[in-house]
Amino acid sequence: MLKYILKRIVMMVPVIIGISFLIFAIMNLTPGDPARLMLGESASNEDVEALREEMGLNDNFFVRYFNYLKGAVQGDFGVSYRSKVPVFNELFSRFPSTLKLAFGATVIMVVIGIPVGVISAVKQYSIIDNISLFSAFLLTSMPAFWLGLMLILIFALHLGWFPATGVDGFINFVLPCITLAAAMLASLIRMTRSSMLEVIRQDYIRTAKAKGAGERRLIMKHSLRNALLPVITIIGMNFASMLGGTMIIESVFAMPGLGTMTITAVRMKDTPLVIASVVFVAIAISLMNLLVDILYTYIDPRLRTQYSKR
Amino acid sequence: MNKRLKSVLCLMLVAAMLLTACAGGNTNSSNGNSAEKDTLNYAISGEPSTFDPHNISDNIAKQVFNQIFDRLIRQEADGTLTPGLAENWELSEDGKSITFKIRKDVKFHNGETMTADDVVFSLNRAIQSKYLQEYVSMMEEAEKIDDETVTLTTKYAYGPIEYCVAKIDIVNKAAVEADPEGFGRQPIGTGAYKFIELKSGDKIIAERFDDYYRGKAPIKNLVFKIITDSSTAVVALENGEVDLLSQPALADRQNLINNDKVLYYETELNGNNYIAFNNTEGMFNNQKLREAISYAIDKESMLLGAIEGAGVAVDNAIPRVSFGYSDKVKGNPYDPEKAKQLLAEAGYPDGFSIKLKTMDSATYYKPTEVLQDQLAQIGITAEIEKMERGAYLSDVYSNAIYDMTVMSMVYEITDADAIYAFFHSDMIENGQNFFRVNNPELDKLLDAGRSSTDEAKRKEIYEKVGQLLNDEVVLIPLYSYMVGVAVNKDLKGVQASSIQYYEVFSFSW
Repeated sequence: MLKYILKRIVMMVPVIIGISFLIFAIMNLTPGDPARLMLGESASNEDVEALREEMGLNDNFFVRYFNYLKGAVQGDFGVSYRSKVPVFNELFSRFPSTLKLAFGATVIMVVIGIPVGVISAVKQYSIIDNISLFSAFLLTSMPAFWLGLMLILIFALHLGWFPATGVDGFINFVLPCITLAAAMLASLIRMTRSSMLEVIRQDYIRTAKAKGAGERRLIMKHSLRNALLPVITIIGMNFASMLGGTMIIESVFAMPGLGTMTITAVRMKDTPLVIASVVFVAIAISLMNLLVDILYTYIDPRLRTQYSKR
Repeated sequence: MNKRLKSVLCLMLVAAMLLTACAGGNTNSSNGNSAEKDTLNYAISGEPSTFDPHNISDNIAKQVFNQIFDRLIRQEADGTLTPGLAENWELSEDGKSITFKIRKDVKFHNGETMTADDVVFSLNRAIQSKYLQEYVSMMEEAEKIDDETVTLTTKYAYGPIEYCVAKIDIVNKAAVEADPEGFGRQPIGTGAYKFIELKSGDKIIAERFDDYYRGKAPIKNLVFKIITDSSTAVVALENGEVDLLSQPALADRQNLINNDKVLYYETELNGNNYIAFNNTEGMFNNQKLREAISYAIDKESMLLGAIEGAGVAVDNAIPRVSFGYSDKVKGNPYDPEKAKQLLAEAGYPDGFSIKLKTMDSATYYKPTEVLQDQLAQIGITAEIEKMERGAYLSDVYSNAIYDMTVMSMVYEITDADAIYAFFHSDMIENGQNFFRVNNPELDKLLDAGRSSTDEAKRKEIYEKVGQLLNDEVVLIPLYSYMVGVAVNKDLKGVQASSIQYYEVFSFSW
């Protein structure tokens, strides 16, 4: 098992190098000049050129990438072009808000999504099933910025229950977490429902029913546990993608997260910061996938025996 | 499993309910009592990359610096000049130097008294800065004469030098020298508010400086809230989470004017929107063609279509609120028939196709859309290319890779000389002459306007400049627009500013 985990982590290295090269290339090949953006419209070309020289932007592309990589291997991922602060300091100053947001949204998603999905499956084609599927569709179709603004208008402006902006306390996270969860809820409900439906039709459920197991026990123990595998994958993937920041929601609710940081960095052509945040997301997703895989073995005894054989 | 899951779910529900309930109570009480307010929440649309005023060229940062730093000469909200850290100043006979008498009673936030050394250090540091060349390119050097006197020399006689001095923030020499990098994160100025801390991406916290040389500010705490989304900023203002929002989007203007929780002040911006041509490279080096376009432009409908009428159509490239503006300068009237005729004379009887570069900002792309429509009326097919800001600036501004574009210009200096950097031929290589205009007559006028100190004569010169730019259709001035500030209705002492200068020191609850 440990060997497997180590192998997976080592496999991340080429992925990360590939990603960093790709971002580096994209940032360099697309138009726009970080020096001009920093100095502003009114700076002369001469000054812009001098700053480019100072920032080392005039060197050959491959030389610059190699230098970057050399630094990165030694743990120096560079400083932000704009703020001159090491990129990981920037990253970690923004991470707490994003983590709280992702965590809150996941909790809401799980607490609502799994029960609704289970009920939908058990009462297939009933009114409850139709209503839940319809609302799931509705929520997915609503753009996050629109839903966010509507929640702000209703719950912040008219009712005054929640603040519209900021990250000062728990209360500030309620509306953004709901907005974020809403978009992801649909996939979770549908996945739970279809996975449950599949399991309910299995022979062993019929056997359990024939043996006289109560409905509750049948659903919770026999079906749900077996249906959880794909559900956990979805939760894990959603959580990981939220860790990269959720630009729209962070921007609508004025939260200092990774998403708003990344988008500003892209606009300002702040290459080191963009690479750092994208690599960070890549690592988060890889680790999350690994975690999901490990979780599988706890949920599914069949897989556990497979791993222990290795 | 069954029982455990159920109890966990129940607990979570109860916890969620409790938390929402008590949180609801919190907001109500904090929004309720505005009587004892001692905090001002100031919305800004982005985070400054540094708080070192000599190492950044950014309008958002300036709104913060206006509270933390002072200048030798103050430029008030309406653009007029008054004494700041200098008690008085005197221009030399030849106009090539300016001597300041420094105030003795000014304290820095770290408790030190401001000296002539701090002033000399700040001025020279700014002169070296790449970020401030817009204001300092004509300055040579600052020198200490005695403990209370500082002289600033310029490379040439420069009429509006005082406006430039009014842009240079005075910093604490010792603090900068001790840690030049760190100064950007912990700035020390002489302003009415001292910097406390930055919460990255969230807010900037400042507090009243009790030893401020003009007295204590009425409001104790100042918080800059970073809100990038403009709709959210408006809601936050209506909701009382922020108290001041400068330059809200024009789309929100009417809504803010009608809102009874908000007061909206507006005035004309020191700038304008215009159609710029590349005068030397490409098809528009043909003056007939530029003339044809100028007759095809209906400025009044442009005004309505682009900014919902919140502005004034103009014929002069010099902003209406700047010294040197004259309404005697006339542009070509709207006359599509004449435009078509000129188009034929220029060699394009059947029109042509053209690409209009613009950027992802309503100030730019909205008038560009109207322009596209107006060009279609005389048979020109225009295709709009919406670019990222950085790419647009690099193409149009730095490299003049464009034929025709709608540009929005805001000048920091309320003097006609601000346009020198755009139209003088010396500025093709090293300035902002992205028009690529090279006209000896224009150069001569701009030089004369810059070096003269006789107001009447300068007015006359700039009238000629404005007319010449129109006669040769170097550009087509379109309109100047209104700029507003929306504030909590209880906030007193606010005044709209054509240069976007809001000093929290003068506000009170």
